[in-house]
Amino acid sequence: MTAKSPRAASESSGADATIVTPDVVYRWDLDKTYIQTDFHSWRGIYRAAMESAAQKKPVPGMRTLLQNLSATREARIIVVSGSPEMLRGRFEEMFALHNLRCDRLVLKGWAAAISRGRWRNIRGQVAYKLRAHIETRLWLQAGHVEAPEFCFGDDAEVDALIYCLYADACSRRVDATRLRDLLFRSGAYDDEVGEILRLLAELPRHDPVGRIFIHLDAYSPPARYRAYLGRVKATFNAFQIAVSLRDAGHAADSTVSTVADAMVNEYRVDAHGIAGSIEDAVSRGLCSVDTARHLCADVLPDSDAGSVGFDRAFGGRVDRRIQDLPVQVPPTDVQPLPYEQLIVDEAAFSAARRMARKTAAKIGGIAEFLDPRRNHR
Amino acid sequence: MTATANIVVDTYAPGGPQPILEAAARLSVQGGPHIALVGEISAMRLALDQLGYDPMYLRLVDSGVAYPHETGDSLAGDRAARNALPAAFKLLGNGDADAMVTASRAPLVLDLGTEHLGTIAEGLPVAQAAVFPTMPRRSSDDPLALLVDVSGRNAGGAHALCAFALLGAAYTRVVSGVREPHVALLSTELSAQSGPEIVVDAHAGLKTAPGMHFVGNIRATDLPRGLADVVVADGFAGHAVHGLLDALTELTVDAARYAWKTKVSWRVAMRLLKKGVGMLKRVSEFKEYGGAPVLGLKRTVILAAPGSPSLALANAVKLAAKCSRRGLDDEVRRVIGMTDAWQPPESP
Repeated sequence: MTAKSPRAASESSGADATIVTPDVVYRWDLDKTYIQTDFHSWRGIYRAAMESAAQKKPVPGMRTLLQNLSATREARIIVVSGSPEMLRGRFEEMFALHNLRCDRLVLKGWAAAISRGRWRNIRGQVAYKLRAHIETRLWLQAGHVEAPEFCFGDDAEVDALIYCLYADACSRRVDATRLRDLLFRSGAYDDEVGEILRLLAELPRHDPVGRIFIHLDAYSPPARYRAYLGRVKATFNAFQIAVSLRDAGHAADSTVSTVADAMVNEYRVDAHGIAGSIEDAVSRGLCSVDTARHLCADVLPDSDAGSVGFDRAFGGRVDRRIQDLPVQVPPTDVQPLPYEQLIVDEAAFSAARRMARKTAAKIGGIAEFLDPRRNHR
Repeated sequence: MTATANIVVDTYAPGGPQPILEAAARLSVQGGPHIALVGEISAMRLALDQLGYDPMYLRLVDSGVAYPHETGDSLAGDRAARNALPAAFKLLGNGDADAMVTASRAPLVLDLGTEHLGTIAEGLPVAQAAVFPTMPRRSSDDPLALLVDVSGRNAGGAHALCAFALLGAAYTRVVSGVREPHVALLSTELSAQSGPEIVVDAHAGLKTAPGMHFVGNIRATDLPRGLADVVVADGFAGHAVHGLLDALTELTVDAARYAWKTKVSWRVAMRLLKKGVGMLKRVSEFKEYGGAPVLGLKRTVILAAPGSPSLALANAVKLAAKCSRRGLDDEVRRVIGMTDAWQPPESP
């Protein structure tokens, strides 16, 4: 067993999750989705391990987004991360500092994996995260929680694939035989596969996933997620997530406005940055033209974005541009995904990115391109 | 008011839009400047989806003009650029952008720029500048000097050369940070009285122009010696000289490549001459500087060479942002307002 079970995890969580039935469940990854982490270099890993809770920096706007989402609706927050179990105390302290309640925090048991010589468990994410998602779903089930789940991940690993597989496994769109095969292909051990299938059998047939957001932390090309047939919303920043949730009716205007305030005040984003994010969201089908026009006319000019130039006149100009944008319409029906091919493609993408990083270390200028924030650190 | 510059970029270069889109995507993930790409929006959208970019610094503007089907089709390319460039100039003219970058053909940019943006002052000629490498200069650390004008058009009089000198000096002061740029006139002889009539007259005008550090005439052979930061030439002569400098650079680099490939002993010798070869490489890389300004228009326009690679185009956008940040437009207006040396003589 590589992960601390959610039941065990609950012992370290102070929240009582069964008092009020929630409307929604937010399922988050930590590294590169909620906090800025660099685990592609030894220096980055060392820093992630040593920095205190106060030193951990959230991805711009994400703290405000999660605070606002959990404040405006009765929500359960589940965090599943590949970070080691020994950092639990620091993460819990960080959530307290960020004024966030985390109902379940699942971390990876690195020590157990190392002591058993299970090296594939250190790097592999699919079996570990899928099992953690199913276990936490069972925990929700035990509390009679049927609320839809909104899943948040990033492009550093294979979060999109794992969330989709979780949805398809729960809904039995992927049957046990195929799931077993997919888990072996992604490097799972025999007993892990057996345990996942056993846990899955306890869940009723139901697709719990409402929406999947992938934060393009490493600026992956959006086309990488075309293979997920519209089931994954690839976003470049927290503001685009807020806009997309508002469009789907899962967030209020105030959520968009509060996240815009945070982007402007804490991260010095200007009116053009906000406008660019909205235009991009519209043209990639994250948000409808009508919602975008409403935000530009009625919401953003009254937020702090107004103080950095997003006034009504500017909003009017953005509004006119939005009406001329070609819009990609994502498929609305849930289609089965070619997971066998996706596993191969994601592995190839990761290998190419690793090779590019190694090359970048040798060629001046490319490192800054691949890791732009290197310039700003 | 935003601190980050807004640069409008025309994507109708003869080499196709891909290098421009790559450059813009690359700059956006590095955190600016804000870039507005003017082009066929659906094609740009498809291409950008294959690249990593940051929408905070990148937006697409529809020109309503389709890209030519074949990138080598120069007639169709020119036609598309002629129809699309006004959309880019409009953004610049109405204040939606601070500067513009284009890799379209220079004559098109000069004509359409004059038509849609206008010149800083009535009657002020418009010039195309270019950079060229020089030996180290006393006045500046910048390895590149400015040659104005290289448009291939006749300047139309001595007053035009005076205007080019003022504009070139203002640009060098603002962008290269040279406090007193040394300005020279390209001529056949060093003497003030020799050379074409237009140069003799311009020499007299520049000697008395206020705030001008005029060093006199220089010959084409003196260009790489680093005698001046700004060399002013009639458009036709400038075009010929600049073309020759380009060709000579290519020839020198080709010769070095040939030597490298031909004999092992030559390769060993080149390794021994590592420092010298490095200088040669630096000279050959001046084309990646990015671009040079079109001087005299109301707003900053940076012209990149048609067919530039994405690195050079990214540098051109950075250059445009630098011009905007340092207030080139204001400086040019100030300089032109100080003197009437650039104004054509009144006809009797």
